[in-house]
Amino acid sequence: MCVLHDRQSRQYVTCVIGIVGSFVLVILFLAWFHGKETQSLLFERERTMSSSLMEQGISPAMIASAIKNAESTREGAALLKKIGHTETASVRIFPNIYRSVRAFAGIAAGMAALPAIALAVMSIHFLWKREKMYRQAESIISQFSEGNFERHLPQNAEGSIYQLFSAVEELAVALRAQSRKEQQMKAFLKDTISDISHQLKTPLAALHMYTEIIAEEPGHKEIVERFSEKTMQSLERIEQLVQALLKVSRIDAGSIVFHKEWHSALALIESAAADLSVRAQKEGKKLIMEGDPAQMLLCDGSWTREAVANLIKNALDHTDEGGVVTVSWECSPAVFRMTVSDDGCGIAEEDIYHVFKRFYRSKRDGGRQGIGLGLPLAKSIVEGQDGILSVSSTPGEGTVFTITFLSNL
Amino acid sequence: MEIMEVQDLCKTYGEGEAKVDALKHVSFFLHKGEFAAVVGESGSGKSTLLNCIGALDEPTGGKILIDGQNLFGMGEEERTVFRRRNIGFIFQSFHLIPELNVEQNIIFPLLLDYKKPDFGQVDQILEVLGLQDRRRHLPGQLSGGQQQRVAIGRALITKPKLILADEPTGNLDRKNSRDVMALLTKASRQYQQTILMITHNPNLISSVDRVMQVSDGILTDLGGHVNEKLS
Repeated sequence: MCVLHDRQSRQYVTCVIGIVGSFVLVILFLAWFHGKETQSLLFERERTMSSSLMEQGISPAMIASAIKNAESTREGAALLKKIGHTETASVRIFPNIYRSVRAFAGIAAGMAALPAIALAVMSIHFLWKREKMYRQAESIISQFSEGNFERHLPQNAEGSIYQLFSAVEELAVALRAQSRKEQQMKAFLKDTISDISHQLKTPLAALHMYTEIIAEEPGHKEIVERFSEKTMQSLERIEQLVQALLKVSRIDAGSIVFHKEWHSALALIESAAADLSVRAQKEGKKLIMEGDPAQMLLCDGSWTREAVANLIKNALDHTDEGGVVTVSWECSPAVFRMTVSDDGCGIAEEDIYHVFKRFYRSKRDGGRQGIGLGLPLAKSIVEGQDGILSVSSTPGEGTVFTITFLSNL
Repeated sequence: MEIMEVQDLCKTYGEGEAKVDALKHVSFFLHKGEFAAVVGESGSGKSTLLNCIGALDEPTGGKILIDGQNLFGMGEEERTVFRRRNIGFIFQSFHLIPELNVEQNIIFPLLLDYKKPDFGQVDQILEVLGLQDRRRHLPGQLSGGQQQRVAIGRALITKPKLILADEPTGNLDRKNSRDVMALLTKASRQYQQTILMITHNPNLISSVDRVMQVSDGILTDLGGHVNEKLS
């Protein structure tokens, strides 16, 4: 019975049962006592009657048979009625009966009062203890609403009330986590805006400079041509930057909805590698795809393609001529796993922790062109679809990026 | 948000000449939702650390605070209830109950706490673990990898504040090990579940958030996302 899990309730119920039990015993005792009293009154009556009859000369045999007679006749009843000894007469007229009744009442009240008082005291004690616990809980919960989590609600005991307290504390903690998350969102927005403005400063300054130069020498054809081209390049770079930054930010903010559909893994990877395979060939690097051609994957096609393309591009960026980039995939009952591995320069120990951070450029990258958002974007895309993107690398030997999706088969 | 703090933890076995300092002044904390791995050779003290945190063993000195509550400042009975409600365990040898089927094994901790299982949640966990069509099977009818997945489900069902995993992939082959790791990582991200795992397999730690090393009773924090070749 769930009421009995709570130790206090259990103690209370046990005491109640004990008290009721003792009450029953009291009543049994009183019943016995009543029997004894009645017996004593009856024998007293018979004694007094026998004495009187014997004094008047009635034979003992007749008295004995009178005493033993168990039947009453109408004449006998009428006689008693005449002298006023009927049930309707008040008890007070018969002093010994009256005395007996008073004694009995006194004892009964006294004995019954004890369990009754014990019951009352115990109930009040139990209720008072609960009341104290509720008050304590109330003060702790008020502290929670003020953000003070130093004290804890009593939770580590059996019983529904403690489970209730546990649930309340969880609720308070969840609310606090939510408010922290909101603060984090604010900080995140602040950082994003600062990233955007920081990254745009340099190309904008360059643009400014180029346009100034062109304005100063509008007639000088060569200068106009040269700096117009540089302006175009800067503008393209700004556009790429802004687009990439917006993508990453939107995904991280959760405002992109991924539409999951079934795609062929092979087709997805092939389309991701489409542009890059040309580049690979030009640079003398091999691009291999390995895996079951019939394998299907549930994901957002266009976003996932972009993530895979970013990984392949990163792999190509970090391999030398003659290097090999392998994209492989496999499916097991619990997970679908895709890896992009290369045999290039690998990622140094001090960099690997930061590789998914925005704009992170390792010192070893040596001035390579690139924004520094390819990997963070890939991670956001994969994680936005409840997947996991992880990396492991050996400097000098190569790097493996692994995308893991839980199968929904 | 810190969910667990270990302060100056010490554990000594034996006395005099046979004295062994299994843990020496270990201090660290775990944040909510973190997936941390403790690596180290056998005999380094990792299992002792896990047992102390899981209140299965009493430390000789120091404090363990889980969600701000001092684990060894409570009475034995309180600690038992606390452990039941707040800590989940995954063992190397699964320890499923052979007479109960998959579903019953998973909801068992809820029944121990006199709680009514939410079957919607059970369905969701079975789905995440890939065990829906095995829900009425007995552990004896499952493979090792599947049994460990049931054990993971059992650890997740009470949504404990902390899950302690003692070599969860020790009895599994490489493929199953990677699957189990992926499931644990997913649980950690999706349910914001804090997981502390012991392992001596360095290949598994690429997907954890944090790695700590125990060597001869001393703990060093190796930071996050590190891929070191550990001997």
